[in-house]
Amino acid sequence: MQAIGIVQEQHADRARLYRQWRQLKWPIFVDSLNVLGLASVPIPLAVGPDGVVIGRIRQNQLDVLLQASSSRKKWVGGKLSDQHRGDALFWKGDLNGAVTAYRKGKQSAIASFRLGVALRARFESKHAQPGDGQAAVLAWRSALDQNPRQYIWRRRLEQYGPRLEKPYNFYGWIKEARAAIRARGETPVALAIEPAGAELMDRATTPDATVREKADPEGKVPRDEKKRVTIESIVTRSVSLKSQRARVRVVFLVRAAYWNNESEPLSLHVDVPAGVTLKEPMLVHPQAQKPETRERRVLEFEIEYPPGETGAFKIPAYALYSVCDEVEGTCLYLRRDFSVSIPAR
Amino acid sequence: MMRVVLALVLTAAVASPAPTGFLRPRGQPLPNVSLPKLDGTMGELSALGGKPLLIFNFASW
Repeated sequence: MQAIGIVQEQHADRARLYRQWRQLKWPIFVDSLNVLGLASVPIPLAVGPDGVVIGRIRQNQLDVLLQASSSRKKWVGGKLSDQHRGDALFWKGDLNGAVTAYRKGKQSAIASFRLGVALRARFESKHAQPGDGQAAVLAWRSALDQNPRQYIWRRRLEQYGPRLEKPYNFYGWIKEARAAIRARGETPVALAIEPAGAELMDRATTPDATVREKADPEGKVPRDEKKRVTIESIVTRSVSLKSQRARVRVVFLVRAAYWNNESEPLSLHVDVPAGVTLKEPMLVHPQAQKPETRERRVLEFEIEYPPGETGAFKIPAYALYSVCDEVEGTCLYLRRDFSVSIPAR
Repeated sequence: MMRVVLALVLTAAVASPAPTGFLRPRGQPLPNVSLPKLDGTMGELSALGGKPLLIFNFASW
């Protein structure tokens, strides 16, 4: 008998870390696109030696599984469709091609979900285009609206969405996994994108409610005219219409510059409009240990808006940060004004 | 190894909701699905024939 795993996960390296922690030895496939069309996990599936699916495994079916089936049906070959073209490009790492292919095809629920997967992957790659992160959320939302019972799709939204809608802490296991792996004398698998903010929270998490005085209220800090830092906000509104929350994730990337960790930390300041309440502000980023670093930084907050507010609106915001133009080069404390666009529900 | 697999199976069988999608071909050959493995190489599920097979669908979130 052989066993394989198929993991439903946007980030394959997180599954690699999980495998290393649990010391799973069997082959594991990654189904980020949900090619299998599963609506939920876990599902154990038994297949006979002839490739005929026996079904969901139950204890009394193990005997059946272990006995060779007598039928000898041939494997069914798949015919490539437009959808599969996008899939193939995605697996090849051609994220631009995959996004284009998914957008060209019929905007079915599954096409929308896979478009979201490809957009999110591109957002986290060197090929990122402005708006990719938000477009991924909207594509996943479109998919879920068409099929609200698809819990694997729902989890992608919940991953980045309002804390109170999270059924559990999705990546709380990572801290324990790394400690256990190090205790074995191994080096944990490195993650390209560290889970942050809502990804590490659930309903039981006590959010940071520290109210900080707004820095630079008079706007005296020099503006970052060269845009040394790329700022992109991603808003995930509540899946449930009964909830009036949206979680805002603001991602900061230094371009031709470095974070200066020996000066003022990166901070975010927002002016929520009347009727909207700021919740759970995580608006100051801790400094790294090295003097200059270039890591992706994420700050988050939630807003609560009035019942029935389903339209789009904007939240004025600005960020303050210390950056250096080069290692041991000129360092500046700068300000960038921008706005967070809350998409219509 | 087998003990670990069976433990996972028994735990999962209690908690799993109704099967959908991938489980539709029950009694039929496994669909010819191509997916990447964690090592980055592509593999086809249908190429895994020859021995009884246990597929465990799970998530790391």
